[in-house]
Amino acid sequence: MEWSSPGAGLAAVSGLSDADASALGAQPGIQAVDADELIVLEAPQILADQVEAVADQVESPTNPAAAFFFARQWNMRQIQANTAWAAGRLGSPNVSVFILDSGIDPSHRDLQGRVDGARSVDLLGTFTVRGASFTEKDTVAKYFPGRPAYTDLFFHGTHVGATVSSNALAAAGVTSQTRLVAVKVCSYLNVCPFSSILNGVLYAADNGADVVNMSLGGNFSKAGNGRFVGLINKTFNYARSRGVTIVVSAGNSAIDMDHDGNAYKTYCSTPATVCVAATGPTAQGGVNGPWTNPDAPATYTNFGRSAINVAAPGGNVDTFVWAACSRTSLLIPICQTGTFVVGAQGTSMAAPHVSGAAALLVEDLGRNPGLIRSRLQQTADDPAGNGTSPFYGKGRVNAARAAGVI
Amino acid sequence: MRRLAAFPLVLAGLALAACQEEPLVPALHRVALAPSLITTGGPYYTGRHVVSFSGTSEPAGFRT
Repeated sequence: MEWSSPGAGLAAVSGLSDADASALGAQPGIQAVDADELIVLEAPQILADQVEAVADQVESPTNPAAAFFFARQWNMRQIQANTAWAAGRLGSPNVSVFILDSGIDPSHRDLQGRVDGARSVDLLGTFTVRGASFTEKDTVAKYFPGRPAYTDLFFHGTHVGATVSSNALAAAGVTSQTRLVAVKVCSYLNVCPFSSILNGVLYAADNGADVVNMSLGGNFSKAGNGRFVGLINKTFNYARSRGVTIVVSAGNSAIDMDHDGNAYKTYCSTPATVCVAATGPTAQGGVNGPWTNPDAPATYTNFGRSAINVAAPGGNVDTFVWAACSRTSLLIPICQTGTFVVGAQGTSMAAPHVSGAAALLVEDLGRNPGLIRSRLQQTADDPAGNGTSPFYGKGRVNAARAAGVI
Repeated sequence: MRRLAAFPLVLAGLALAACQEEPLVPALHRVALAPSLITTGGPYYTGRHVVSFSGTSEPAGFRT
């Protein structure tokens, strides 16, 4: 038994042969037994840049606009996070955002004190990759002895988490006080066991999550994998019933989700989520701007009026979202040597902007996913000027308006 | 700086530059990425199974 969630009516087991699985599926009280698959994490494009001279920026947790790299954070200004900060809306340590991703490095200076180590977990366990058994915590112990198993050997989860909440020494997050919980469901091998993703949502629901951020991809053919749709719905509905707001990225394949009926696109097809498309400038004069058309739909973003709820900055063309780079990254080893930020581009980067805004709304509206999604949509800016659009949904999220400060 | 090609890659160029107004000479770092094991084809199975119960409790004898 890997895990069991009687409340959701789901479990995962290992070591079953095909015959065993068939026999189990025929038992009373068992609805289905499905082989677990690996899902590819839709990793974005990245740049990296070294942080220097951040030691004197100690005031920035209460003034995120003083972050060393704030000048290049067009994304924070675009959603008016800086306006929210100026009004004292920095987030609350009583609100928890669970980051279902590749883990979080809690030692990065932007994240020290932000990550709840007691609730952060590695849910990857041991799984098979092309016939080989893999246990990521063994890799952590080998290369970074003494570090927690949930630390990030990739870069993705740390970047996403720091976009939600950051001490803002190097780069600001949407908030600076929100508590983060790392739930490792994706490995640095760039794969995520589907059973770990389900377990991560259930774990979050049972451990006090207010918001769950899932910057995870994964397209399933409905014809071949319709069973997954039922499992996802069962899991997400359970979380929603526990008051959890789930924010998901739309995916980076430039797919029209309104006209691809045979595919199940990421988790946007699940009713109980906030699905986020990506925006970004079409050009920039330099890394610190000026930026042209910063609300343009990103060239890579999936879209569709029926799927997208809101849009948020994810970077576009030659513009990136900058945030903390994991000091335990095996992918970008230079980040092990100091305090770095990394520039990344994708709907994975867009979703945490919305999760950060949702964290602010938990303070105002409580743990009410329906109300929070409605407020995010109602207060979004409408770059298309026509209500609901395929690329923006109800619009590009505005943290300050959502929080009621403008 | 130089943009990386889309993941996953076996090797990717990672251009680093200092953040000061007068940047240091950019140094190109070759970064070995973790091998992508499932970029094409599939599905690839984990060796686990997901069990869906008919109700919201474990059936009697499930753990045995």
